[in-house]
Amino acid sequence: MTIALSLSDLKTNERGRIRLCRARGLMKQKLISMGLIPGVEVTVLRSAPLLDPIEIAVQNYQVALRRSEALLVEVDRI
Amino acid sequence: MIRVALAGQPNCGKSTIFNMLAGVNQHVANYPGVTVDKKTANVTFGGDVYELVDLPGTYSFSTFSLEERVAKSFLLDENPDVIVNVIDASNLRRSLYLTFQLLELGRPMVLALNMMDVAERRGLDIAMDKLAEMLNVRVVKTVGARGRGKSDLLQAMQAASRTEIAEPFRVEYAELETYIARIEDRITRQTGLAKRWLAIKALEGDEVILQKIGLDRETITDLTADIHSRHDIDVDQMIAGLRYASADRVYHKCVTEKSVPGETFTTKADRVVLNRWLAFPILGLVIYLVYQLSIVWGYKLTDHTWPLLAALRNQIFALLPRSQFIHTPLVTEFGVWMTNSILALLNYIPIFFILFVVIAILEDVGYMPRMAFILDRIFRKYGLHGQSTLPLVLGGALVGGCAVPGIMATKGIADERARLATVLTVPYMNCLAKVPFYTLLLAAFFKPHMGIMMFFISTVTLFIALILARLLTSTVLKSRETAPFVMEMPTYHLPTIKGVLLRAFQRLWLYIKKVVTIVVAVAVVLFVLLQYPGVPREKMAELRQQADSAMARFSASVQDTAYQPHLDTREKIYQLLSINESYRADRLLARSQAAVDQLNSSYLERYPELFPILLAADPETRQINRALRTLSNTGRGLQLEIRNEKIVNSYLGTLGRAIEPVTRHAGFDWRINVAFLSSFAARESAVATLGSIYEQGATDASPEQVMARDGAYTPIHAATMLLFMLLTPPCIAAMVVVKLQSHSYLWMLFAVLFPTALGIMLSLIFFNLALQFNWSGVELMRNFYLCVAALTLVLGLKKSSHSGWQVGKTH
Repeated sequence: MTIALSLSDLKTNERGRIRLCRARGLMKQKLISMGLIPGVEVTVLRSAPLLDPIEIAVQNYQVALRRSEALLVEVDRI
Repeated sequence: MIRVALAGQPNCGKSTIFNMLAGVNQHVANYPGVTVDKKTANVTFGGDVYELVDLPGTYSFSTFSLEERVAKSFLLDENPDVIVNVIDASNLRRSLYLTFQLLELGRPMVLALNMMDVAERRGLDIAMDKLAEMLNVRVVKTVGARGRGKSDLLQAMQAASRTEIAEPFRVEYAELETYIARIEDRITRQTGLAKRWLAIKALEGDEVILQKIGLDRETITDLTADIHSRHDIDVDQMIAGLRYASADRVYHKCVTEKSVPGETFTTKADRVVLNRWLAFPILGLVIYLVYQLSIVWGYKLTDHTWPLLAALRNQIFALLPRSQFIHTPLVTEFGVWMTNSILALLNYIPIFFILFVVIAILEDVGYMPRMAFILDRIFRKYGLHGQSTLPLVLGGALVGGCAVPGIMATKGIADERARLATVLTVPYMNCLAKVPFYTLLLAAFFKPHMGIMMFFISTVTLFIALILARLLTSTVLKSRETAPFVMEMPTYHLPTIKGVLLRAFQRLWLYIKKVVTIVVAVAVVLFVLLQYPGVPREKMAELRQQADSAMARFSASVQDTAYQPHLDTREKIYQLLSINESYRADRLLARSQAAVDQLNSSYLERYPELFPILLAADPETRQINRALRTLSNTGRGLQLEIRNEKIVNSYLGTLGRAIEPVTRHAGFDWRINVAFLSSFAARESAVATLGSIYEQGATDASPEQVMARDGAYTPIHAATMLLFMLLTPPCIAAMVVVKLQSHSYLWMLFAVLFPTALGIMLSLIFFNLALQFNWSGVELMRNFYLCVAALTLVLGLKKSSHSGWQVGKTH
């Protein structure tokens, strides 16, 4: 059973599959070029010491993004 | 000439490949109109000359980020003969995403599989032949950091430049193919670019390409709406998905994972470096080390390099016409002024060099993005970026730094608005050259409270910078382009000595070239402003008369001595004076007894008649030597008076007095105004000018003693001066870098005028408040500090409507 969440809702070490990306324009392009597209698996590695931004593993590498940006990415927890 | 473009994703080691091919013969400039570095080099191989251009690292070829725009327009407009695509072999799948887009361009291409050593360590076995066959390009293995694969790569470049590619690789876009074909049919214009590539880019909605091929937006929007309704996904995401799927296929056919990779070093290291409790201590340690290494040790290093510069200065001075007692030829004054202005800047080169080395190391290791990751939350509140940390530290967030390397380090900040805000706030940090000024005033007025005052001074600047950054980003910079904070955390790499030194030298050279040339121009202007119109006629006559009687007294004292024949004309006495001066200067530089002996014998050889007077070995020469000292002191006193008269009467002095009616309310008289005005040239000159204005007549007291004794100033005056100095605009060198990094003279002017206005305003307010409420100087400073700190806190807690990324906003 999967529940739709945002990437920001995932806790450390939780995995998810990207369902859709609500970002537009530059943000959307940036996420696409970094490999954050529907169907891709992501793992939350950690959040920064001040809890924001977060670091995730995607496409075999690590990406840091702010929670405000992670909110735009909907995921299914797996 | 064969033109080769180096393309690749960030962190793929592209610059190490460029360094490997180009060696030290690199030319660094900017792409027109932007602050993106453009590195070029000419390389000769097999009888051909290759012009290499290093494109900025890009993940993709959209037109959204600055780097992508620059890289794309280079590939489109300059049409390179060969593209070398550098790939991180340990991260092949992701790298192919860009490779496919490059291949679609249909240009001859070479694939450089870089970081092969890392890939092998991770147990990846890449079948190069298979990869070359599938993509239909030449593939070369390289380890740029160790210089491996250079000749293979050059050979592949040569071969690629001589062959036409028959069948370029195609990513299969499945259901999109019919749409691509439909757009291809509509492209009638000849652009010299592959139609398929243009069609795909058009389908992605790329404005630049749409314009180039003359298709209107509606056609594309209709198509994309159609696709969206059939497949329930945006076209650009679908295209990206298909590219990743293709990359997956290629990866699985060409790569065997021999062993399951264990935890990489980066994963282990990040568990410590980014640990919730350890991250800040480690960050603090790194910043402290950067500061200690460059600013503290670099400053110590200047103690050793300064004598070299001073020797050079003496040699230059020796070439200038000698001054004749109180009369100094204009050429000499000009030469001395220019030499001093330039040497003051060159003196900081050791500091800059160490700084540039340390920055290059931090960049290559991969710590910079981590720094941004740790601190972003704080800086974002004020419209800055996690990446603003280093520039602010270098600028002097810790007691003293230099705005020049600080501003230069803003280059990497992805968010344009945050970058400009950082460029404009770094100059508020305490620069090293302000420190002597602070010490002078603190020692004169706040002896018992020096510690707490220094604390206020060194920490208040960061608050001021944060407040201003917030103000700027929510007003004048509001409409500036921002970028989402989506940043790769690259794997850690050991930096190479060659790479680090190359970059440090390149940046140093850029500094010398740009900054010194402009400082020279400004120094000329300041010289004129300080020299003219000169000392009034009557005053000059009076001073000349004093000089004449001093000369007469000296002549009388040498009468009846054996040296009289050598000193019987004015010219001869002038010569003795100037020998005396140059001997004293050289003597200061002689460190050992042996050096002194050598100096003495060389002087004796050159001036056998006069030099014994300077040695003063017998009663007669001692007597003349005493008289000479008196004469020379009188002369120096008179020269000083002339200099002061000149400053008072100069255009700058007139300006200083003209604004006195305003500045008086902040406690500044014209003397302080002139000191502040002249500090534009370089901060050091504020102390020098104040010193020379106060040194009225030759007293032995140091400037701070004179200032404290001079009843005109109270600690409130001093505190207000400190307050103004905290806010004073950057020196010329820093202004020049502001101009370079913001690409605008307007911003440079703003960087000068705004802090000046703010400084005068706040000085006025706090000076008058202090008078009103009878504050002491320390209280004035403390209250100012509390106000600033409180404002910072309020702004930080207040939710900002625009500090983060806004949904759906492209520019």
